[in-house]
This record gives sequence, C-alpha cells and structure tokens, in this order.
Amino acid sequence: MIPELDTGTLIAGIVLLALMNVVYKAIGPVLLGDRRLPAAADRVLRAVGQGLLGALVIVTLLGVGWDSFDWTMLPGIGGAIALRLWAGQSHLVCALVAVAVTAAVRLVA
Amino acid sequence: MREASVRNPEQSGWQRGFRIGIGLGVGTFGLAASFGAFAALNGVPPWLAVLMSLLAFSGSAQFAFVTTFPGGLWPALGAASLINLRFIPMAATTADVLKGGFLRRTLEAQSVNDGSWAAAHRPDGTIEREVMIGATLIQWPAWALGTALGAFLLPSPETVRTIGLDAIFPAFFTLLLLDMMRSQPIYRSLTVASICVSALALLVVPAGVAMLIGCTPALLAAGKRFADRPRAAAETTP
Repeated sequence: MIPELDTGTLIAGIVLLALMNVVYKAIGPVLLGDRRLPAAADRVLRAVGQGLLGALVIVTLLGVGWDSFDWTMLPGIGGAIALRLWAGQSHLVCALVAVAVTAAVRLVA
Repeated sequence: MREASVRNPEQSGWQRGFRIGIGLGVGTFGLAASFGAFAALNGVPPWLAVLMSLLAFSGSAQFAFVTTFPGGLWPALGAASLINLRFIPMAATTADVLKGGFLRRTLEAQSVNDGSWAAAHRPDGTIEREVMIGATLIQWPAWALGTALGAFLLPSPETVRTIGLDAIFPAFFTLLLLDMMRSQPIYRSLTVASICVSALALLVVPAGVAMLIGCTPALLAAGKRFADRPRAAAETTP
C-alpha cells in the first residue's frame, strides 16, 4: 500500500532541501574567496580532508547501524586495491573489476 | 612512477573528470534507480522524485528526507541537513581552486559531491577543479535519469545488487584513500582514527553525522600537533 503524501508540502520541502544544499556547499568557498589559507589552516584542512575520505569509505561499507555491511564486496575491493598497488591500473578499471568480482562472488555464494 | 602511468599527462583535467564521471555515473545511475523506486513506493509522485534529484542531487539526504517525511516536513529537513553538514568542510577544502566572484563560486561549489570531491584530490591532497566539475557534470544527469527510471519503472534494488553496482562507490573511495594515504603518510594514524570513530558513530547516528564525527580526530590532532610544524614536513611524500 503506497501512502499518500501532501504534494504542496513535498514541493516546499524539496525546494528547501535544495536551498540548504546550495548554502552548505557555497558558504566556505564564498567566505574564503580565492585567498590562500595560512599554512597551519591548510594542513588542518588536508588532515580533515583525508579523515573525511576515510569516514566516507567506512560509511559506504557499513551503513547506519552497520546494516549495509556485505562481505561479498570485500574480495572485489581487495582485488581493486591489488590491481592499483601492483599493476598501477586506473581507478576506473580497478572499480569496474571490483564490480565484476562482487557480482561473481554473489553468483556463487 | 605508477602514478604517472595512471594520470595521463596528455589528458586535460576536464577529460579526466569526464572519464571518472562515466565510471561514477554507472554507480550513480544504479543508486538513483534504487532511490526512484524507494521514493515512489513511499508515496512521492515520480515527477517529484525526479525534481528532487535534479534540484537536491544528494543521495543520502534524499533517502533520509523521504524516509522521515511522513513524520513531518521539519523533522525530514532536519535529518537531511544533518547528513549534508559534511559538505561545509568538504567544500571549504576547494575554496582556493574555485574561480570567479560570488555567483560563479557559488555555482562551481555545487559540483562538490562525495564522488567528484574524492576523485578531484591529487595524491598531495590538493584539489583539481576541472576533474571535480567534469565528474559532476556527468553524474548529475545520471542521477536524474536513474531516478526517473526507478520512479516510473520500479526495478528491484535486488537487481542493482545482483550485478554488483553497489560495490563501485566503496571500491572507488577506497582506491582514492589508498592513494592519499600513500602520498601523505603523516596523516595515516589520524585517518585510521577517523575510520574507527566513524565506524562506532554509525551504530548510533545517521551516516552524514558519523562522517562529521569521524573527522574530529583529524581536526583536533591537526590543530594541536601540526600547527607549529613547518609546511614542508606535512607535504612529505614517500
């Protein structure tokens, strides 16, 4: 049974969601302009950038409550890492290999 | 040496961005189809699901919005805003490479999304503007088209899983992190701490909030330990 939602409120919500995104993404670049950050702040941002990327990896792997964790992805991701480290393949090739290996593992698992 | 073989010097940043965008776009399309089907099954008219993808272009926030909307507009916006708070620090890292005045910078900053932002990182941690914008220009229509497919045709999320498309984002992000950790080893321990903190936070908070909490070790330690070190030490390459 598909629930009925109020279309007018939905449209208002979508517009507000979009505006919020625009502000979130623009506030840093607009306030900072093209100024070079002080060296210390630049190092902090680099550390935060790497930390955020690490967090992004774990969030996509585990999901909220670790509900999305799926071991069948691990052989594919491991294969992609190996290809990158030892064969120097591009990200695109490595990621597509991860997809293919994951599909193959799920086929036989 | 290996990096040189991967980053073709004859390709412009735009070409690399479009190429990366195609790879990410495949995963984006599959995820968007899942979102479209999810939204339609939760009462969002298909045309509004597509409009949401065109205007918001934010996967996790859109899932959160649709999930929590039956509880009211403001709780739904609150959940989505918490998830997307991560875009503030992410976009701030791009500030010195974006061009133009207020309007152009605002527009260019909209190209910040998880995949493009991650892909645009050079191994030394700096951002390549053309790669980020180029990758987003491919992913944005893929997100909208995938949503339309999912909302109007309602394919099973199981189909996306069966062909392994859900593995493309974790694999891609892991590869980028690998490159960055090899290039900036000074931040490795902080990054491992971020991963552990995010993993624990995921048990109790939404994904976007877990990411924000996850970057706090780097923020705190970087502020304390690296503030007075020479810049060259932070840019040491292996």
